[in-house]
Amino acid sequence: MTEKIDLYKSLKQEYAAPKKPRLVQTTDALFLAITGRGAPGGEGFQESVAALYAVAYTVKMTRKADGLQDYVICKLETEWWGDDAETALTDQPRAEWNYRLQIRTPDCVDEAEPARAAAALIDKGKSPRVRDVVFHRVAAHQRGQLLHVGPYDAEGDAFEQIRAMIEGEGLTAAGHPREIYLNDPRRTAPEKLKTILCMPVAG
Amino acid sequence: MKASTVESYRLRLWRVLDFIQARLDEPLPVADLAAVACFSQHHFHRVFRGMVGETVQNHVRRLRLERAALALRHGDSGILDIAQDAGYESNEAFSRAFKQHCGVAPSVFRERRELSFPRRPGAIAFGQMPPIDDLIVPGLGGPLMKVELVTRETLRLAGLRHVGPYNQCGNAWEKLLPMMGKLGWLSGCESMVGLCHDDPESTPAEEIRYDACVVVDETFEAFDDVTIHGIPGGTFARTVHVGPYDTLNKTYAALCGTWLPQSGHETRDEPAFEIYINDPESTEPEDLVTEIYLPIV
Repeated sequence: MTEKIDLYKSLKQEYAAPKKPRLVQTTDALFLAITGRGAPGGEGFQESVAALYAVAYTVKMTRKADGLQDYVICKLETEWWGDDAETALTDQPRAEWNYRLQIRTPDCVDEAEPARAAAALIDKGKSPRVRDVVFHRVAAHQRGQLLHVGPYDAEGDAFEQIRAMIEGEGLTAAGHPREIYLNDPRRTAPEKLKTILCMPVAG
Repeated sequence: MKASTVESYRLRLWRVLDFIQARLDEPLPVADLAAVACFSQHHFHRVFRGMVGETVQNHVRRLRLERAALALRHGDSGILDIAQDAGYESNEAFSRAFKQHCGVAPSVFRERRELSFPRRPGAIAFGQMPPIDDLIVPGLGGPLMKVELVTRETLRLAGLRHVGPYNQCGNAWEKLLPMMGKLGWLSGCESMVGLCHDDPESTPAEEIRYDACVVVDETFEAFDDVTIHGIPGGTFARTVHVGPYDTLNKTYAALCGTWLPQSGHETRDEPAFEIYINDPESTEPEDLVTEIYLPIV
């Protein structure tokens, strides 16, 4: 049996968590993802998180049962965007924020696997939201990122630092901001939350 | 703190300690000890370990060795007789255990009269059972941990039994999760439950029974080696252990030996269980979160 894949560890460069913003080059990435709309941490958001994890673990464990390549489940990531691209996200009502929750997944996984996992889960009475978990691909790109320690609602300043760094390099920030959660908000005091914040560079 | 229950736990502990001191020649099965102390067998080990600071087995072994040391020093029985009185079938096993506690072999101890058998600090020595009012219970001096009382519905679990060293429980998970996952039973959230039927500190490693379980509903039917367990609903004392699984015993000791006697509650005759909140594969050991549920009334 080949060794277990651990993308979070093997892609250290991409998951760098510097205190000061830094430019990072990513590689082509495959995610299992679910999109939704609503305030971060709200009920719909939590349901989406649960559905995504249910599919992610079902895909992984089904592969393991079938003797296919095993891997470690990566950290949860979220992209956020508003309906109005001209207005800063934080100036739009939180209930109208759009999100895409995602878990990076090795590309040995086949596109039919999440659908099969969802069918098995629904057969056992799990939420129909699992059907909305799909593949999401992000092409290699450059992004600014830093490690934010503290509550999620204090991220605005950190994103500003990333944007300033990007502009200082003569580049332009573009695309959706991304959070990569390094610990579990249900179990961690807000001031100890560790989140990698990312801002893609136009390009 | 409820004085009456503290006194009740102290009294029951005193009774079992006294019972042990008087019957070191007998096998002292756990069931008897638990009965003397009026504790559920499910929890007796952990309550004893938590309150006294050593496991029942270590306590009994130590007293027997202390008694053997007195016989070596002041008696004229042969070493094999003394070994057998201390519960050892061979000279070698006795010698090994004695050396572990004392640093020298029994024969050396007998010859060199200047040597003394080391006392366990703060522990009750052989033949020195104090009156109840003088009994010092180390566990009761510890800080009170954060414990919540929660009511839970009956849990239906699909489990795979592991019998063997506690640190190999992972093997049962390695088998169970692919089987259950393929069938769609993994919801991904707080549904991994561990049932530990034996306290890992007090049970011979090869006899520890542990069930790796996934929460299921009434439609689940047992298959292969996967069996169904029911955890009756009721009140539970819940505490959260943060850190590696191999330090769970310390949290159990604080829960059962320090918090419980001062809580005003008694345990129910059902096993404790653990819910594993995060994934040990992708989480650093010091960040692992485990909820411990102790069934109480």
